[in-house]
Amino acid sequence: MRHNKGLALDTSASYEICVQGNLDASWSDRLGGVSIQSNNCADTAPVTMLSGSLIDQAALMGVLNALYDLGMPLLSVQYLEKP
Amino acid sequence: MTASDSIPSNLIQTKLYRPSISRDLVHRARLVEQLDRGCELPLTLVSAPAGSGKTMLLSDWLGAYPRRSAWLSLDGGDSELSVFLSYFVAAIRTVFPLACEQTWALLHAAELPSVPTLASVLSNEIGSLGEDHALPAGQRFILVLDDYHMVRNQAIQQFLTDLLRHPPLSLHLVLSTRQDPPLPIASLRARGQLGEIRMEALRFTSDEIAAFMQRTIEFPVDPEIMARVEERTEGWIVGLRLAALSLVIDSDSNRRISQLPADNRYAMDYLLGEVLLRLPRATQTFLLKTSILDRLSGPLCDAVTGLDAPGWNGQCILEWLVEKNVFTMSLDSQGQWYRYHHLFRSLLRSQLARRFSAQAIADLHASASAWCGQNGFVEDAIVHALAAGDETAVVEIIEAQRHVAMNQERWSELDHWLRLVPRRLVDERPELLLLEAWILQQRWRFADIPQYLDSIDALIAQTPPPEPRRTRLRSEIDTLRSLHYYYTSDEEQTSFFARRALQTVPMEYSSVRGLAWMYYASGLQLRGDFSGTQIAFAEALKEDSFHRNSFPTRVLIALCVFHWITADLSGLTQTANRFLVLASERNLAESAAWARYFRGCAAYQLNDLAGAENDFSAVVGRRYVAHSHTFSQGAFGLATVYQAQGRSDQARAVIESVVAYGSETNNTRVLADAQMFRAWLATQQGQQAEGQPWVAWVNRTAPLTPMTTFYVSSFAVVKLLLHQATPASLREALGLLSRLRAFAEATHNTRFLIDVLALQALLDDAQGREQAALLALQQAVTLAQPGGILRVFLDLGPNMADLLDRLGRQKGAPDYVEQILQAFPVASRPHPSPARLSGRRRDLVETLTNREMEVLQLLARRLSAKEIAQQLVISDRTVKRHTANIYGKLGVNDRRQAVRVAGDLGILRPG
Repeated sequence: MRHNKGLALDTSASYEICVQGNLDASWSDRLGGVSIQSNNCADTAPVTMLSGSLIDQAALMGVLNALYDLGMPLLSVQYLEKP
Repeated sequence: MTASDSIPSNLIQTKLYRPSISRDLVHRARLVEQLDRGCELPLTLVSAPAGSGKTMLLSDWLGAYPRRSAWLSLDGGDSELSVFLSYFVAAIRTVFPLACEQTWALLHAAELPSVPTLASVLSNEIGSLGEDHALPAGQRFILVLDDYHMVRNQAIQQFLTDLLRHPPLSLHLVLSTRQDPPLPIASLRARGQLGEIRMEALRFTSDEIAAFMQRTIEFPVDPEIMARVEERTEGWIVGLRLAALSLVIDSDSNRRISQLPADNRYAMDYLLGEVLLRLPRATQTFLLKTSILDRLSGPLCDAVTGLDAPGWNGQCILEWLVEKNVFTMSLDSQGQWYRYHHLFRSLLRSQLARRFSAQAIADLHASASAWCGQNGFVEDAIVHALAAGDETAVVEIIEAQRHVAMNQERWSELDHWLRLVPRRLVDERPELLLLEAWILQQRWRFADIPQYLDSIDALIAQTPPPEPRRTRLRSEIDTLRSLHYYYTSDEEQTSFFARRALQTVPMEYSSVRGLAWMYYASGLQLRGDFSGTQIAFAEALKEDSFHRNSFPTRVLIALCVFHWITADLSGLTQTANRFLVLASERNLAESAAWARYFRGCAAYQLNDLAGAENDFSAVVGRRYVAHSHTFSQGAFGLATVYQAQGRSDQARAVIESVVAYGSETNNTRVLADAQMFRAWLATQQGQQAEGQPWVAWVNRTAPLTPMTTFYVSSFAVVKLLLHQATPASLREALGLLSRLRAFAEATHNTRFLIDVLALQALLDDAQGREQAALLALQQAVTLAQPGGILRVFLDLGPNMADLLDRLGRQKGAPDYVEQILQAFPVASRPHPSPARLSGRRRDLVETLTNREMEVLQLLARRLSAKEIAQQLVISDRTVKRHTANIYGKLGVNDRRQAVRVAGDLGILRPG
């Protein structure tokens, strides 16, 4: 039933998300199991990068909404082609 | 207290009702079996976009399932932790009616405890459901939270995170949501503790689509059409239903279906437009207009649409929509409440916005608001009024409803209403500012109130409201002012404002009248007009026949305080008992705690330790039901009882729990009192070191407030200073005592004047001023006698016993002294060591000659004068002479007294 239309709502995919601010790595469990890395450079505002495979779009939206509710502005969301 | 206490019961029911399954439902065995298998896990997550069929699946599953299950439909209004948890507990109670009492009490306490506390308490209570209610071994009961994506509040997420980190074994939680919630799902999944159904699984398979179409469409469908529907919708059930609906309404839809746009979303929009157009015009209008409502009922819809035709009203239309599967679900078993499918509703709303003007939509909201307000759905009324942009209506709704809610003590609900209103609006309306002030009063944040009163006064001065509104506002302000003045011990102003309030507060404002009476009577007490006070209380209680609600609780609290202040312990016991009866009759848990606390106070001072322990531990045991004040004072009472009984460890444990409570609830006053108590307790238990740091905490310049409680920390400070026993500390104690004395006298506080005088006596005695000490003690005893106060003296230990003993020897000493002394434990009764003798006493001993000493020894051995003469080889007359001298020097009249004094002085040799 599936047509080859590229990414669908219910297939898993890898994403890299960058937000402004610091996020503790312990949040990984609550954010789809992505890996979390914070970058604190002296002059610029801190940036956190979340990356990993998400089971479907519902999981991705969960992460994005949670970041918004945590007050972290979105800098980028990048779909990563599976290797 | 029942679950539906603060929220209208029919609204609760709609949220707890498992939505009925639609007729076109296809039973999806594979998914139901998967849900079954997940039942022994803590959590199942059903996460998929709108319209995937989550709700129907879960409803179908539970309908056939033999196990116990509960349902909670969430919406945007549940965005606060206390509201969310209230519904959570209410849902559990549909299965276990009396469950989670402690959590429930916590939610309705004056201050909400922290998230970890709530999670821990609820987790325990859910866990115990397994044991108490005989869930079959190892089985969990199921709780479904539908539309969980509506929850965005961090406190709620944190709560569930805590709960899921230590999940109770008796609960299987199911979250149905459009996107994954920020809960510890990844780790649960990794440990195999997570059941999961996602979009991929929810897609209808070809077989399921065929079954669905067959069920829905009565005539056979062209296989080509079927294939196209399948292709376009990709098994998305909402799409399927729209397609089916469109085919049912107009069987000649071949062309239409073939023109379905490729994307789900646009297909939906397109089909909806088509479906709508095919419906009767009146029905279309109905759907659009009622799309503003979260929940629909026949009468509410009629109010919004203005429908008035007999035989075709809101109720009929709603039933028809359900029957025809037009995306409408019933929310209860009586057919009273319904809602639209979310996607359907959001599309209707966008159609509404396209076809109607903004003003027309605002008018719809206004009609909804009016109906909700008239029918008691206050929160909905406010929400609609805000949507209508009608701020006046918002204010009017709250103003109309607030006193009813205040009289029923629905404080958290009132707080909730206020938060729906923009700050700017609250600041402009006297009634709303007053409501905020009342909420502060309820929380005992008295110091924050005056600024509100000033703002209100300013508003009224700026735009004077018409009568009778103006007088009513003034009457509430007066009540709050009298409260403020009472706490600054300004008797005159307290009485002035309270009296004026009583003349003008309307009878319907039961809550306010209760307070006005309370401070009116208390003002009289401050003045020392005790009979006036009692008359006032009697008048106040007579008024209860009008109110018959929580009105008398405040009056009775004040009356108990009055008995306490006047050291009338039997009066206190009597009133406390009366209070307890009333509390149980009217189901007022917080009042019951107050009554027991007061009864405990009386019992303790009467030296009925068992009784006091009983009452105080009841208060402490229900710590979140009781007001924070009652709990902390009850705990001080309990610790005092334990200490008096020698149960030091338990006393310490109780105090530690108060310290924890004070930190947890951020209550600085409780924390300060508890730390002072702890320091005093340490000195009582012989630990010097712990007692020291407290000195730094003492706020020497803080103004004194009326002493109405069981434990007043100022006295602990005096005792600690006395215990230190340095010249500097004694000087400071003296200073503090004289301040306390002046205050107690000025406020006519007999109860604590007794403490002041007793401590004064000890202090004077320690510094060698015996006569002054005895005088002060005499005054204290005289004041204590009518009420039967004992423990003030007993708690001051052997030094007090000794001083009392000396008082008792004096001519004209009150009889009561003996009674107090008898109450002392034998070990504490006076057996003074020579080291503790006062200077004068020591002198006495020194004036006795050796011979006189010998005679005294023999007198003590009960020898007759003759026998003494024989023993000492002296004449009878000489013995008599010696004896007379001895009596003279010791200041006694006979042999018995002489022997007694000698015994006290410790000069009698054994044998």
